[in-house]
Parts: sequence; structure tokens; C-alpha cells
Amino acid sequence: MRHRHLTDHLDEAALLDVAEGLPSEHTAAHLAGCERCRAQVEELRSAMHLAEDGTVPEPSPLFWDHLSARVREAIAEEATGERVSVSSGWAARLWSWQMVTAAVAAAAIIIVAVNRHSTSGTNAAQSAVAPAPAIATTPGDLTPSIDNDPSLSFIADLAGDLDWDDAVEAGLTSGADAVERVVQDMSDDERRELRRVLQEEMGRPGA
Amino acid sequence: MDRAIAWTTIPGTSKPAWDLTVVRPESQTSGEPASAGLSELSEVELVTACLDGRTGAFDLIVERHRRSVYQLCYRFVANHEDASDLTQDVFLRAYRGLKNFRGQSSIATWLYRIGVNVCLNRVTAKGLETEPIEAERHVDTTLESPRERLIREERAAQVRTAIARLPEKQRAALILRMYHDLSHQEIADIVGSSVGAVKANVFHALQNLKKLMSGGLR
Repeated sequence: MRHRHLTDHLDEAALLDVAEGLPSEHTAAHLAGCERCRAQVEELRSAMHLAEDGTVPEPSPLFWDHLSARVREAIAEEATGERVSVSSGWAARLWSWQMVTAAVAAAAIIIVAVNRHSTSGTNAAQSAVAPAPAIATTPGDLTPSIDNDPSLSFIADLAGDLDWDDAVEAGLTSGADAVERVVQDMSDDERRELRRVLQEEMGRPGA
Repeated sequence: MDRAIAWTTIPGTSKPAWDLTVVRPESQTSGEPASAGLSELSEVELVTACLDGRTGAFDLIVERHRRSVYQLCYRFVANHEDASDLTQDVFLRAYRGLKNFRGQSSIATWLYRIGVNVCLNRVTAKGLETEPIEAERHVDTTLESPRERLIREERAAQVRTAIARLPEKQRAALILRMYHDLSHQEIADIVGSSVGAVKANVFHALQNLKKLMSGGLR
């Protein structure tokens, strides 16, 4: 160490010790008379405070159990002699999740679009024929039967053979973090229920 | 605990050859959780339980250490996807290397050693893809205004990105010291250097962090 004389400034290790609150007698004596070393210690402490701001964002509450399941699965696969890439199990599950998400999102969009289309179409027709008739209509009047709707049957036929790549190209899929975002928006009860369902599904043989 | 005791006669003698078979109680195989009783085991005993094939033993290790290992990995790569893959990789390697664990360090320190190696290999091979600021999630914001939260998240993302850009040895030393509270000696054991070198790396990491932050990370 080179901190015994005032002319020899503290080295990096000694400065760090002081900044971390572990000064020796020698360093304390040196610091008392050395403004430059005191300034360096202050710089270090300031950088430490800066580093404390770098918190890691907390992942979804579901992530931890999922991670454990991934590890368990990877170990089981290795134990059975299957050489798999580290993330293949996760990818497969994510794939199915994304397919489900995409399917649900697509179905919701289609239903909303069909409803709006028929509503506006009906209203437009009504206003063109008779201005503001005082006839009570129920929502059922404005919504065509989904089972009998030929446009939905057409879409169902189209989607029947749709694989994941096709869905991506068609713009029906969402980003990789879509599932995370959906989970974020859930209430606590919804998350609990989702967790229960996931655990149930993952507990099935072959899941 | 049930014991099934059987004996046969040793050929040529009248002495019985005892054969004692310990039968695991039903509660341990079906009714009771597989991890029952494991939580009382010491770290070395837990590792031994893993090696003995006791169900749930390694799960317990994963459960206890997954958050800190994930955070270690996240600080190296600064994005969730890579961090979660790396965390899985760390535990898989740990499982493979369980028989090498001698209990000379804690399981956490042992996992950190694996984690540092895995992360440095990945970063070297793949480069750095930091996560956008809007990817922040699940932080308790009950006492914060949206503006305060935004500022804090931006700040945190900048610090993480700056740390992820530090030279490898400085990054490893700073992460283990600042965020995982390891001693300089433990860090030296993990990264395979001297205590003096670790201190020097932490020192320079802090200086460079400040420079990177003041430079705006462009």
C-alpha cells in the first residue's frame, strides 16, 4: 500500500475500502490531510448511489413458477437422454400460448367487427328508409346469429388450416411480450385463476 | 416407517442371511408433498438429497435461488428474455455439476460462479440487446406519481444499460459486490482473481459507470 505518506495518495483498493466504510487507521490519517483522496472517495460514493438506482424490474408473478417448471422439464429431458436446446420447452409452450392468444384476439376482433358492421348497416338502412322510427329494438335484433353467419363460416374455413407462420404473416399475432402484458392487466383474482388453470394444464401427462 | 424383513439361510450353515428392506411410507410417495422435510436440511444435505434422487430437493434449490440468479443474469444482459434463458441454463448446469459441490462455499456463491460464466459466455457470443424502457413492469408504484415512476424507470434502465456495457471483469465484480453483497474474497474466488484485482475492478467499474451515465449512453 502506498498511503503511508501524505505525498503518496491512496491506491484504488484503499479508496474503495474507505468508500465502502472500511477505512484503516492509516487511510483515515491520510484522508484527514488529503483533499484529493477525499474527493475521490466522494466520487466513488456518488457512483455507488447511482448504481443503487439500477433496480431489476420484477417479472410477472407467474414467471417464477414457470421458470421452475422449465428447469424441471429441461432436467427431465436431459435425464431421458433427449438433447434439447435450452429454451425449446419454453418455446413450445409459448407457441401454444401465442396461438391461443392470437386465436382469441382474432375471434374477438371478428365478432366486434361483424357486430359493428351489422349495427351500422342496419342503422344506415333504417335512417335511409324512415327517419327515426319509434320502434323498440333489442340488441338481438341487431346481431346476426353467429352460427348462421356465412362470413364467419368463411373465416373459420380459412383459419382452419392456418399455422403459426401464416398467422404471423397475416398480422394476427402479437409481440413476444403480449402474454406478459395481458397478465399485467389482469386483476389478482384473474391471475390466481390463470395460475390455477396453468398449473392444472402443466400437471397433465404430456403437457 | 415400515420395514420388510426377510431372511434366507446361508448355504451350508443354519445362520440366517438377513435382508432388511426399508419401505418408504405411503405418505412420502403420494399423500405428502415430495419436498416435505427438505426445508430443514442444510445446504450440503440438500445437495446430497438431490444426488440421492430425492424428489423435490432440486426444486427447492431452484425455488430458493431463482430470483437472485435471475437478477444476476438480468444485470449482465439487461433484458428479460435472455435473463430467463440464462437462469434456466444456470440451474441446468448446476444440476449436472451437483456432484462437484463440496460445500466449501454456499450454494448461492456456487450458483453465482456458474451464472457469471454462463452470462459472460452468452454476452461474448451474442452481444448485448438491452430492453427498452417501456418493458419495465411490476414495480410497486402505489406511492409514486406516473411522472415520478417514469423518471425512476428511465433512470434504472440507464443504469442497467451502463452496467451491461462495462468491461466483463468490472461488470462481474460490480454486480456481485453491489447487488449480491458478496465479499471481495468471495468475488475473487468466483472470478478466479485476487482480492486486490477485484477491488481494482470495482473501483474502475464505479468510475466508468459514472462516466457512462454522464455521457448519456448514446
